[in-house]
Amino acid sequence: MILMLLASASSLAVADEGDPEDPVDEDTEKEIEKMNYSFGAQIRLLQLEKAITKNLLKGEMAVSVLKGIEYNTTDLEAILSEMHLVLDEVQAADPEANDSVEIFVDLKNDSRNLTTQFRVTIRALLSDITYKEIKAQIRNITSDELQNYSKKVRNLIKQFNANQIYRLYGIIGNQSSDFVNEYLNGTINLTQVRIQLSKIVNMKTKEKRRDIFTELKKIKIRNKNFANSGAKGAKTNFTERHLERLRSRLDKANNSGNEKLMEKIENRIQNIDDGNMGNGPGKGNQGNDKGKGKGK
Amino acid sequence: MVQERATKVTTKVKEKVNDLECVVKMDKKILSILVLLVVVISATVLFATLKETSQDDQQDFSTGEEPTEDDISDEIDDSFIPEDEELDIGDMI
Repeated sequence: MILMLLASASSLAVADEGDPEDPVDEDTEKEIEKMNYSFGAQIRLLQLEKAITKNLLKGEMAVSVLKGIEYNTTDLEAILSEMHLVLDEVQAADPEANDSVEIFVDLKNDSRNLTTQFRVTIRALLSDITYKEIKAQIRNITSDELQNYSKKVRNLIKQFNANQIYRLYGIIGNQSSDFVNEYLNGTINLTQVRIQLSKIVNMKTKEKRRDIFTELKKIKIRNKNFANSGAKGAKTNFTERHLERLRSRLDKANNSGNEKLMEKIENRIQNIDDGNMGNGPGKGNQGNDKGKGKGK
Repeated sequence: MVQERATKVTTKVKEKVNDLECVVKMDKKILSILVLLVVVISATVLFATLKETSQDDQQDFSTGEEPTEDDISDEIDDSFIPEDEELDIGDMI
């Protein structure tokens, strides 16, 4: 009994410390929850595509400014080249595939790590004044491409939300689908839909309200379980999949003759291999790839 | 005379042995009951702990408590994705 208590206490302590090698953070797990529905995976991959495109745009702008004032930008360009490869991989990902959650987690991690690498590299290159000036210049940069992404994402989210309104109608027991059409054609916005649905539920009897609440909770638990098992799946063989992607990118860098990128990827593969030899299979360190900063 | 004393002693010894056997039998019974009690208590505590954990995990919704308007609104809000939601991979600079 005492042993059992000790064991559970120690496992709690480990959980509280957090795992620095965890590729699925709280935000990502929340994002995975919505991938349990149609359009969900498509939305997450498109959002990732948009985020990478936005960062590429900013990165390329920063590099061209630095080139203009004669800085050596070879390292930064190599990072951007790899981000382009990640973007290609996101675009090629199939949202309907069984492993779409794994792919999303892997590529989100890669994008985050490359973003951190770029930020750290450029920070080390510039004085405080130049850094702040460039930061201010590119802060609100946008493009037609980005605006197109925003529109596409918004449309998909509207489809997703419309499906959710139908589902809620089913749970509440309403036959009318007025809100769905009004929401889709823009007569009412999402906030108004939410308020209206809450009103309808709150007008029901106590018992019915409790039933609806219970049903909504059940759905939430189902989605959480989905996200949980998706996260577990993504953590399994994470390093092996990472190595596989790096090798595939190395081939592409080789084909395009990008020597700096080849060198960077080779170094990282070497780091992971060295880590694997030291720690056993599946536990290799991620070399420079573990930076997960969220930006300053 | 000797025969008589021997018989008495034998009887006493027999009685003593019987008593001792009874005590041993009682001890065994008590021990068994104690072991059984420990097992039952452990099983009960274990079951209660597991049940509580699973209830915590599943954010028990069947406690019979009345959900407030805010509870219901929160659950409805959770079903949707905000239209302007963006995915965070950090800033480049």
